[in-house]
Amino acid sequence: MTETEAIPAALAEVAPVERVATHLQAFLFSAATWNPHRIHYDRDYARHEGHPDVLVQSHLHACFISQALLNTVGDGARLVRFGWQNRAIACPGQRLVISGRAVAAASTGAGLRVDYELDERHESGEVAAVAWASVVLHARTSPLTRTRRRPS
Amino acid sequence: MTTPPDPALAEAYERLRPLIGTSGPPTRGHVDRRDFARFALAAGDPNPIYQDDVAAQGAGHPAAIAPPVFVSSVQEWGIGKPMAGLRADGTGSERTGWLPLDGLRLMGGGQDLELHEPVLDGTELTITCVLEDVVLKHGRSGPFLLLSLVTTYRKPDGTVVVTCRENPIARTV
Repeated sequence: MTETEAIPAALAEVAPVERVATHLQAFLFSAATWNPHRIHYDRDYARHEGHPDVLVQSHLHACFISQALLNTVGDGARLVRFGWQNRAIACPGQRLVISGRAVAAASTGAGLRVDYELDERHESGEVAAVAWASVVLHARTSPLTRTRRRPS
Repeated sequence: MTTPPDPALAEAYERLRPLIGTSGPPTRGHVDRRDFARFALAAGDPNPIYQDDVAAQGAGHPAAIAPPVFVSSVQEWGIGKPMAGLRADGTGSERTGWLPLDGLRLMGGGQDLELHEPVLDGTELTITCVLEDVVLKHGRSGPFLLLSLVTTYRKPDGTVVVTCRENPIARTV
């Protein structure tokens, strides 16, 4: 059973975070996921498909967005749902800004569940990806104890 | 305006339709912290709970856990196909390689993940990908196939740890 709750002020916003993928990162991400799709490391092939350069992986966008959210809610919150949709391509070197906001909160047997809507935009404002997510905060965890980390 | 017919796409549609409701052969995947750590490194994620048991325990987990997007990002759990067995664009890994998509370009573009429980170091996963539906559509840039795939990641006791829904599109090359 769930019951609607107020969104905790400390968790209401996912403050904007900038990420810029590099060619090295795109290569390493393909290697770490054993993804042989040429569009992520073969510039000639990417151009053959009509793109200006190799593309940032769909899942790497998802990592950027989920990291921004988890950095806001802290390790005591568990991500129970995460969905995203890529809307525009991005290439290494392009600046991407991730931000989001809580849209609902409800108490559940497991703790407070907070639902989010997020997006990742190019400098032009064009949306590269949209995302939706839910986290569950265990009762023992205070959102004030969260640790902010910077992307490495 | 109607889009011109695309025989290759129509043939692929006919090949895929009888497969609705079926899955490729289940694959096995062993997850370990080296892979978590490599994934986190590549994704620029410095959170220690993906490699350090003490940090993970501080967050309420029994041991290091997988980054949430990790398991559904992995394209291949085994060795993978020989290079000559991949499609021209390099794709054709085991999760979707069972689908008869030759001559088509498969484009992802997002997933919807239910993360039922954290995935722990050492877990042996069984991965099953079901083709739930395929629809022939006509977009502004021509016809395409819209696939509905549901992939489940199970522990040896049968518990589902992650459910992944996605709707890749396939176009002729």
